Parts: sequence; C-alpha cells; structure tokens
Amino acid sequence: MDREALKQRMRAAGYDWPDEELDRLIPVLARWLPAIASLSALDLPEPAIAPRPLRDDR
Amino acid sequence: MSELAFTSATELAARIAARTPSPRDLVDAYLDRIDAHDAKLKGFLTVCREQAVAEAGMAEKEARAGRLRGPLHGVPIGLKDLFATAGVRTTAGSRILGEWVPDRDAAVVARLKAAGAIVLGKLHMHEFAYGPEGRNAHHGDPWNPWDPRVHRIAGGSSSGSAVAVAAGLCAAALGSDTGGSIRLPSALCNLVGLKPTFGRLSTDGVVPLAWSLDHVGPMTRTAADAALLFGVMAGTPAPVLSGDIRGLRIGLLRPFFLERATPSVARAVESAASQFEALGAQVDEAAIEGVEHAAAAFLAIVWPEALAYHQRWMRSRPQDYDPTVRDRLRLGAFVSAVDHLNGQRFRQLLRARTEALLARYDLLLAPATPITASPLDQDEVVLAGERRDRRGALILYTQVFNLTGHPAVSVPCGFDPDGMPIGMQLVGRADDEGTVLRAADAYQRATDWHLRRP
Repeated sequence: MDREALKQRMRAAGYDWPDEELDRLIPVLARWLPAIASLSALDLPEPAIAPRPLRDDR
Repeated sequence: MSELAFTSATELAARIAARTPSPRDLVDAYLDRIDAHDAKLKGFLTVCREQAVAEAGMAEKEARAGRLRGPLHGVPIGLKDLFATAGVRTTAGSRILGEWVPDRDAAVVARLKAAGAIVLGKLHMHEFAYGPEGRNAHHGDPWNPWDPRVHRIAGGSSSGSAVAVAAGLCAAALGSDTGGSIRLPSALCNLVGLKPTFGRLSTDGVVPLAWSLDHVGPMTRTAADAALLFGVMAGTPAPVLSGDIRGLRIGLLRPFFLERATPSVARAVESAASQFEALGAQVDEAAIEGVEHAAAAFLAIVWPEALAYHQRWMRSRPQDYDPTVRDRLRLGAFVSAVDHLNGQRFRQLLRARTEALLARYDLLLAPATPITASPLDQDEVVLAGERRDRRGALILYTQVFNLTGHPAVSVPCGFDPDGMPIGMQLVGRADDEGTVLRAADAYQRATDWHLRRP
C-alpha cells in the first residue's frame, strides 16, 4: 500500500496524522480496501438502507 | 439470596407481584453482590445505588398496595452505558463523554422504567461500542465470569451487560448491536441476546456507532425474559412462547458458518440442530450465496459512518480516545462515498438472498461466534486452518444479520473443553421476533445449558 497515496487521501479528508500512526493502518487497509473495491464487480442492486425505515418513537 | 440473583426476570416479576421478595430486598441483594464481585469483574461503570434503593422503596409500597406499574415492576436491570439516562452520567465507555449527564432517558429506557424496571446502574463497554472484545483502556477490562483464574474477554461491545447478567449482578440488561455486540458477548457468557429487526426498537437517545447498522435489545438468562423486555420496549404484547415448534422448518447454515467454526462450536450447534429435530422441527442444510463478501461490505459501511459521527472529536480531542479505537476510526477516512454506497448495495443483495431463503425456512440456524472466550491478549485465532485477527473472527457470523436487518437471537448451546460457553444464533423473518424467541424458548425448555452458573 502506497503511504504517499494514503497521505493524500487523508489530507483530502481534512486530517494530518503523524506518519507512525498512519503506518499502523496500512496492514488493515492493505487487506480490506481491495476487498471493499471488489464489491463493485458484483451485480449489485440499488441501495436500500434496511428492511424498513428506522422508527423514532419520540 | 444467591439463588434469587440467578432467577429469571420473568420469575422475579411474578414473585414480586406475590410480595416476596420485596423490590427493596432484591435491590439490596444485587448491590451486595456488586460490592462483593464487581471490583474484579468490572460489569458496572456507574452504580445508581441511592436512586435504585429509593425506587425500590417506592415499588415496594406500590406492590403492597396492589399497584403494579407494569410487567417489570421492581425488577432490577442494568443498561449499557450508551443509553441516555436522565440525571445519570452516560459515558459510552469513553473519556470524551466522561462527564455527560443527559437530561432525558433514551426512548427504550423510558419504556422499561414505565413498566416498573429499576435501573441498578450503567454497564461497562468497549469505548463508543467500537470493538467486539469489550475491552476498555480507560476503565479496565471486564472479566469473563466463566473463568475465575484466567482473565478472558467477555466479548463486546456490550461486555458489562454480559458480565453483570452472567454473574448475577442484575436480572437483565440492555445492549446495543452494530456487528454483533449483543449476540456475541451473550454467546461468550452463556446468555440469551436478542437483536431485533432493524428499526423495531427505537435508537433514540442511544450513542450511535453506525446509524444504518445499529440495533438495541435485551441480554437475559432466558428467551422468556428476552420476550418480556422486548415486548415492553416495542410497546407491544410480549411474544407468546408456546413451547411448540413442531413442523417448524429450520435451515442449518453450513457453508461459511458451520464449516469455519472451531470443532467444539460446530459440534455444539449440530447437536442443537438434532435437539430441534427431536422437538419436531424439520432441519435441512442451507446456504446464503455471496455471504463471504459480508465482512467487506460491513467495513465499507461501519468505517465511514463511525468516523462521520466522531469527526468533531477526532479533530479536537484525538488524544482522548483509546489508541486502538482511534486507529479504527481513522480507517473511515480511506473509504470513498462510492465504496460506502456499494456496501449498501451489497447489503440489499444479501438481504434479498436471505429473504429468499426465509421463504423456504421459518428460521436459519448457525453458530453465534466461531470461537469461544479467549484470554485477554490473545489477538489471533485460527479458523479452518487460517490465521485471523480475533476482532474479525468474533463478528464473522453476527455482522451478516446486521447487514440484512433480520431478527437474530444468541442462545446458550454448550461448553468447550475449557468450560467456556458456546452460543448458537437463530435468525427469523423481518418483524418475526416471535418465532425466533419461540424456538429459543422451546430449546431452553428441553436443555439446561442456560441454568449453569459460572
């Protein structure tokens, strides 16, 4: 996983975390970002949040 | 009094209505047990001692006069510390909300109180519900009561809720469940944990983790207790538990679920399937196509939703988070809006496939967790020969039904060779908590796993 690319993404999101803290995230991102990206290869329907809308009783 | 401390909430309510024990005696008994055991177990973050005693006194007078507020009159309960409580500190297990005293109760808490429940205190949890081990860097790690010698995780994030009910420190508790946080600590501590249908119970006044995945529900010793608390919180009569499940069609989920569980967990759930057959249900093997993508979809949703809620504090007070929770929150910055939407789209696909399966079956059966409670610092586990991090393994089976929104209950179904509890998961059709709980109750009438004590 390219640390510089991650840094750009982090800064674009408005954060500026120290390198050593960013480095801790790299193994997790390296495992899961490709898996998340691979969802787009599935034949996905339109999104729906849940079986039915959230009810608020108050 | 130790006997009473492990009595079901349903029976306690009936006994209180018959005037023995009194609510005051019961509250005193639980407070004594909290004093004796909670320094080690860490079930409670705040004990509402004076308030509980005062309410118990009032409940006692009312009971003597024959006036019962509702089906939980005088029953002492605990609340995970992310349910807002009027006048009582609500920390969400964090330093950031360490001094927050809400001015009103969460909607479900108001309903439980109106039904007569007495709040004994606020329960321990993983910081901001963001961790399935139930650990807490600020307040100490809860101790699974099933192993007095080795400090094992209770499971989370509703760790204190599980510890308090399992150790007989309160009659029942509330938890919240975004990826399994009711069901998995219930499984690891030999309790019944109900995650109702998404949206069935109000999350008003509950500190969120991920809005589109958050559920709230009861954690109890019996399915009957879960039905009682669920009915009160839903504002409907409690589901009728007839004990009869003859003719019920159950789909046993083997691919992905049973086949990846540790051998002792798989054996216990298969044995439970046989028990359901003995009770007259028809059990066939079933599979949810594409379920192996659930973890990726779950993270695509939970990472950015959690960061969106925490953004203000992540900018202004990052040092006040447990570093491991802070790291997890940061992951949300790397998921795009497209990724999040694809997670939601996958969720719709998974829901449709699960619905199709539930057209053929009344219930689905799987392990609640692939593993049992492990020692505190054992961060890795082996599943089906593959080394994995414990966090991901703990929610592997439960997160699936946060995505689909179907009601799911964890029920005690055995113990592993170390004496650690095993839970199975029963999943039903949307809004059909009744069938889920009826099957859980029928199983508990035929077995005694839930009657064992730590």
